[in-house]
Amino acid sequence: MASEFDPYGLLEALERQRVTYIVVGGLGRVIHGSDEVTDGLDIVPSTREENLRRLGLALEELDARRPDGKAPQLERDLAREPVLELQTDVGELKIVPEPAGTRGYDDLRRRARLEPLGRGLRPSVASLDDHARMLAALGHEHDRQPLLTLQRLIELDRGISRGIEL
Amino acid sequence: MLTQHQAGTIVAVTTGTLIRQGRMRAGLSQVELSQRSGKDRAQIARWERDVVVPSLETLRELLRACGFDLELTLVPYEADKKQDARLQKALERTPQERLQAMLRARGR
Repeated sequence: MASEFDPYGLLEALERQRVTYIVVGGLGRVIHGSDEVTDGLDIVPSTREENLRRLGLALEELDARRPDGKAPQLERDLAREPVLELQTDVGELKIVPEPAGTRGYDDLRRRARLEPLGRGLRPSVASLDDHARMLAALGHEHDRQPLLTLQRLIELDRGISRGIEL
Repeated sequence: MLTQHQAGTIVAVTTGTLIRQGRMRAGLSQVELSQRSGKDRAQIARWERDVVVPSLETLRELLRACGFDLELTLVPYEADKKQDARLQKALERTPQERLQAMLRARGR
């Protein structure tokens, strides 16, 4: 686990290279209001060739390394591994082309929203429902609490948007 | 809604994610589910997006068309008021404030 985690540093590198992606995972849940703490950024990139080239440039800029210390080779690694885990100087970055329970970028982008995070960053973040869908599909016992928290957030959020007191 | 995962793990989903999850696990397209269940495809899409919430009976019919059944049991429930207050506060914050609150908590 990285001791350093600067999500702004990771997101700024992706933005500089104009990478198309959606934020998912712990950081996505935090942006929606979940009260968990996370040490990395998980993204679902568009797997179009030009976008993967841009993502490769962002990874070079971040000096991203695989757990074995080698630089990633995006196309080869993504073909072999469902999740590409990378370490950078500003924290962990996981690249997940097709998170559990989804069909990847094109599936998630329909419900994703641009969320303003400051420093001019407005990354696209998967919806609360899709975050629940992904955790539910994984079916991990350790995801039970984050899932229940998401469920409650969905209920509270809908209560607010409908003006109903829950 | 709470449901019992096949492996025994409790998962929480909306009715839309439950239908979608059942359909995808069964390897069906929305058109195929429409043919199997006799429900309109566009309506299935609306249910899956949680634009409209189906009745319990309809939900069961859809899941059965996917080869699953819905098992509902009553379990004790007590609202976690402290957590609700925390989440309510988080919802009142902007996404930027939520991220910065997490980073502060991480630094503690």
